[in-house]
Amino acid sequence: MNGMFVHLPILIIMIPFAAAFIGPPIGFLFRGCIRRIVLIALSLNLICSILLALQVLSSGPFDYYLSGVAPPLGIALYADYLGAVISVLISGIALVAVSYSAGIIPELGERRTIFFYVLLLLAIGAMQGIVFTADIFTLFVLFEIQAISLYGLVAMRGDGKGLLAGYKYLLIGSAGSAMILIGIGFLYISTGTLNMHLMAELLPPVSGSYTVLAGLALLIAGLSTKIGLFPLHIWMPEAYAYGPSIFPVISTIALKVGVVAIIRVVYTIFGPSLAIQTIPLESTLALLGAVAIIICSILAIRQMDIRKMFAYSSGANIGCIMLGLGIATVPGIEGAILHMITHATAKAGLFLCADAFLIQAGIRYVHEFKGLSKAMPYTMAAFSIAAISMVGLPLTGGFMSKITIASAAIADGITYYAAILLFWTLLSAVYFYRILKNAYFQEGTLSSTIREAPVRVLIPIFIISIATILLGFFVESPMALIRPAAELLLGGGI
Amino acid sequence: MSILDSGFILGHYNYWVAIILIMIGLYTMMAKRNLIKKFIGLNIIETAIFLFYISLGDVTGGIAPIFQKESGETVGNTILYANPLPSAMMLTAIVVALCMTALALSFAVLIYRQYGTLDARKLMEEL
Repeated sequence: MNGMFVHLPILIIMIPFAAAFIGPPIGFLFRGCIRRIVLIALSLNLICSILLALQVLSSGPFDYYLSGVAPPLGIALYADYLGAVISVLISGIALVAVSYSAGIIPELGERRTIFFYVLLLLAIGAMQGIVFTADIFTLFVLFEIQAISLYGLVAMRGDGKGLLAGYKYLLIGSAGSAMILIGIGFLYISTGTLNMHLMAELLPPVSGSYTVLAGLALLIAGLSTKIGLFPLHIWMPEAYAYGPSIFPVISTIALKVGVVAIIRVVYTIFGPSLAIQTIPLESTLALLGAVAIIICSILAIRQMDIRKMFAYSSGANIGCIMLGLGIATVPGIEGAILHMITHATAKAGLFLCADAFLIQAGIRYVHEFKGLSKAMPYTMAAFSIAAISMVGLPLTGGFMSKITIASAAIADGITYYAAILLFWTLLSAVYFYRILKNAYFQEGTLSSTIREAPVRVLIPIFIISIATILLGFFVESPMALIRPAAELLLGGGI
Repeated sequence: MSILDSGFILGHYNYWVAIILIMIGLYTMMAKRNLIKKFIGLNIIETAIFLFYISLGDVTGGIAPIFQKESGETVGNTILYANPLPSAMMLTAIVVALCMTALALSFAVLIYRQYGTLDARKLMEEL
């Protein structure tokens, strides 16, 4: 391995952070320059992520010791298949989202736009750190950086509802962080180390003790607030509805990063054998996921505000990912990781289109969509592709991941989970079909002044749509990384 | 040793204090309607966690880890000293908690300016 590649993990984390620090002075000096800095930083980040993914693919996972001090004393980063694939996802989706948004976001004004982009970069840097870190306390600190940036982003518009949504998110999120911190403390007293891999070696003798079990429970409960798993999803609808324009896209990838942290805790620290012995995954994680799927879908059907509807749909999709993880076989985890990618892509497409509808036509409720396909045909087409992928019809990414999880459930002999996935497809068809029906088959009373979104906005939307379709056809290329990731996670943790 | 043994309970009093404080904090977060009082509840939880961690690092008879010689009990040739790692971790966690508190209070000020109340039940109707 040559010299440059060794430093890729830390470069990926530091590029967004460095850009976040040089952003404000340059942004205040030159008008509208901040977006260019963000775009350059995220492009560099994407290039580094892809290089790292290729490196990991060709020569396997590797450790990176910060300042060259090895784990018992120093802090390590661990670049493995899972980290590499999610890292590409984070920087890719973030780059598309930023290239969608404007140099000066109209609803925020010039000064707040600068702060918006700074918080966004801090959140992205923290996310990249979470997927690579091998130290559980670093994981906590990075989660806090990410969370504080996201709380700030939700309330960025400064209006009453945004602030209230931000406060609600902050209260629930910081209670979750407190639980994560106690959980880390419990695991630390049991093993005496904070490094995940050393912990994995030291845990088996003490794995039955109440301290370790309570630590695991607290960690999973705390992380569940970060990913919005069903009973703790209550911050999502308001945060998505009243946050600024591209916040939901950033939040979508933040949820995936939380799932990566859960995978690290359950599969890297505890390891599959210990995890299955001490916590019956099938009846805990998978059950929580199944409940989340059904209840969040029903809540989404009741919801008429599309941004809140998509928030509940995110809750259901997180449930699906948890279900895949709970199956705890190689196909189950493969399906879960693939669903993270396909869901993030499709959901980013949905939110970018929903945003274009809001800006161009002022539309945010289902009944207002009547006749929109004539006024905004291209955006509506992209929206339909994303919606079809969310429902999980063939030829889109969403189908590939759902079928992988469902067939894993059947292969493992738990057919009722596969039935729940199929039922969920029906439920999500109900709430997406309403919008498509109104847009394509109903005569509208829309004003004739509504114009198609400008090309600058359409290009990122189309890139996301093309990615959604390509994932349905060429699923093998992400699977080249996902398959060894799942095998590595099940093959004894490290 | 049984969990119900009085020696066990008294010997682990630091953990009991932390647990009781966490429960008080959780109750405050859930039961109080004022947004600032809710956050005070969270601060109590965080303080309890700091206490829990710092008591983890204590070694009976150990000295502060910066002193190398002169004082402190010894086992063989080794000087007993307290584990510095939990305290170092808590320095970071205190900074994080401070950031959260600052952010929450600034949100509370802005919310009060907009709505003229901090009553969670009235405010959630607005949402």
